[in-house]
Amino acid sequence: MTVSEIYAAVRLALDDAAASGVPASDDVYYLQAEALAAINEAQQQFALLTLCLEASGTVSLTSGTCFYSIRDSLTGYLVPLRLSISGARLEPARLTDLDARYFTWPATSGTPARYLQIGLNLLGIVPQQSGSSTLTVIYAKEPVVLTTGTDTPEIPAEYHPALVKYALYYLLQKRGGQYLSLAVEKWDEFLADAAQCAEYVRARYRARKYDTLPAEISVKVQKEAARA
Amino acid sequence: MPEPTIAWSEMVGELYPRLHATNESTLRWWTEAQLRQWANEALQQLARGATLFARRDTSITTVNGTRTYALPARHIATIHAAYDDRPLEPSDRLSLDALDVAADSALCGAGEAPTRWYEETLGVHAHIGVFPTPSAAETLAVIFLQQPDLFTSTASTAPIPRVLKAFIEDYVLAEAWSADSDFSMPELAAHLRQKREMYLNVYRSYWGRKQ
Repeated sequence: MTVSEIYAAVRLALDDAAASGVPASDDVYYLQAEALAAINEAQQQFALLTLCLEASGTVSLTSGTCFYSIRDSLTGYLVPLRLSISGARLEPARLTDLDARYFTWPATSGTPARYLQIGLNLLGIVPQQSGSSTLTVIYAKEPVVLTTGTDTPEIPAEYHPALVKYALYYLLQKRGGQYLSLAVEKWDEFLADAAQCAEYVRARYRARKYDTLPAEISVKVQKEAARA
Repeated sequence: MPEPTIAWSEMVGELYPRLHATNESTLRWWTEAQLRQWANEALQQLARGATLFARRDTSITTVNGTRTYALPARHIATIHAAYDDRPLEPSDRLSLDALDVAADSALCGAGEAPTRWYEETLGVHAHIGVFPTPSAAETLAVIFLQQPDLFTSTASTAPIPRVLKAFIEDYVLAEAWSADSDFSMPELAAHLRQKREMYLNVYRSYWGRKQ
């Protein structure tokens, strides 16, 4: 679905066409810009909960340097999936692992074998290679912002209806009362869609032995296929 | 490229329609400053609850005979400390006193290095201490959780991915709708507050894993 198609589906469900009956840029309760923000947030939350968007990039490593700000180098970077140097995979490690294994791990020369990520942006490579090298990173990424009607969300097409559900949840909230009840229903359905996608992504990432898996989400609504 | 950031002006621009306004002047029950204050609370939750903002500081150089050193600005908690790139074991004053009756006066001999670090707990966590007291000038590298710069105006930014914007916006909406006014929607506020813990758990599983 394109953004225009998602927007049309949302407007149909909201039953908020402009009084003239002619599609206008803004409706009675909702602005078109507001609906676009809702669709963007829907895609962002879906990508966050499922880690379904994968990308690859490189980071130039400097001789003898342990720490890097990874978000400075990779567009849309969220979490690492697989790191390698010249095809050799780096194992994820924790600070306690490195403290136990190396005497002075922030300044240890050698062939890089491990990496650690702390927080959003701090990445460490241990040991540190002499001379420059290139780190290849496969990572889960956040989606590009949708701006025009012809843009297509990056998440799998079969989950585009989930974006309609989230957009309805986002837009109906502010009317409160019975609309809030309907909004929360749409939120539960969105979560169920995300949980189903996350399960598939989790299985795929396990098969590829990726380092980060999608978070486990508890859902109230079970999808039909999930009961089989 | 510098670390990508999200602008408060973008977030507040998306919040206005959700609060039945088109801009700051049409906000009926709140002010932009109030919304910004709640957004700052959300940032603090992300920093403390989800442990997102980790930094490594190498600006501290030890001094012969000096045990404690000022920590970097906006420090929340120290995760790791290394003296001359040698990791130090975390400790506390009670353990050090149990370890050495003369802990306060223990000094490294020639060629010796401190083995433990602790945070001074009097007042604000503004100082880090090492044991024994170093006798040489070496770099004390600290990995710590840091509070990001708060939003102070519409020009402010936060160093977060776009996917975290929804947490801040939902936080602001929850506080706005629960604020005492004729226009409050406590049921919506309760729903948005319930979502917070779910998202914080997701953030912790991705970025705040135990080290």
